[in-house]
Amino acid sequence: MTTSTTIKKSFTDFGKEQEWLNQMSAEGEAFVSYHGGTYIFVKDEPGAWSYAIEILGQDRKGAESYLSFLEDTGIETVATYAGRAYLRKRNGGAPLELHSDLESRLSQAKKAGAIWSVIPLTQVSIALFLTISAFTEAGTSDLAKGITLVIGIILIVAAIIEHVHFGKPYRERIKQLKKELSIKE
Amino acid sequence: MGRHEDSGALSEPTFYILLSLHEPMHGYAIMQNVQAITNGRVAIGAGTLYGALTALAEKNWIRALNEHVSGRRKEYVITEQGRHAFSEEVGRLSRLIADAKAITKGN
Repeated sequence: MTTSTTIKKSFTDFGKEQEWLNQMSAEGEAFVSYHGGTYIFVKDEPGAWSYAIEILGQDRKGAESYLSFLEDTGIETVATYAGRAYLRKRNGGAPLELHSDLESRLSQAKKAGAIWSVIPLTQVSIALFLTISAFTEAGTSDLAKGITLVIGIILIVAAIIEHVHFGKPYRERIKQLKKELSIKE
Repeated sequence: MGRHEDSGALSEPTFYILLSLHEPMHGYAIMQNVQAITNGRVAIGAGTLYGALTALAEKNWIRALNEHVSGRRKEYVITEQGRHAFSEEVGRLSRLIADAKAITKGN
């Protein structure tokens, strides 16, 4: 009977997450399933699988066609979750490099980093909507206004932290790739 | 591929994909073929290859051969338009080498 290991973990940087999955594989723990922060691993030969995380975007049909193409090249889809795909290949210990040119890497880094602009923007919109509604609707008590204002401020502060802190590694990666792209293909 | 279109140059993966597709080939075979003809110097990632094949098919430089046959790997081949673009690129690269040799005296 195959024994599995379940680990709950959360990442804000897909690069770090990918590194961790490959590290686990090197230690003989092959990643086989993911759902909402829960990773499942089974024992396998150390380094048997190389993993990569790919941001698929919103085009569902395009994503299906892409994953099917990858399958034809020997790359398995372990899981898809919230617009990203966890991929693996028996690659003789070599990293699974899906993007071999700078433009393709830049496009993937931009897609991956977009999440730390989209989520904060949504939070700011919700904060503004709640606050404006509370202060413009007649009959709202001062207590309700105060609570809404505090929630709004918390949401905005969280949005700023997410954008500045979590988005930083992606912005640095994009900057570096753009610099390289300006001198070579 | 916009940047390359502006400068008229093909990226290295695009160049070798078009070169490979002078014979019909599916994705994985293209990756292996490019590695073989460049002695491993150029390795095209599957993600890069997919993006390039999609863009080249949209430009009608390549076409899929067995698009509607289920269960078979899709094969691609270069079109007349693609052959023309490829030959223009080979001409451009030859001029580039000639310019370089003229100044460096072949060193």
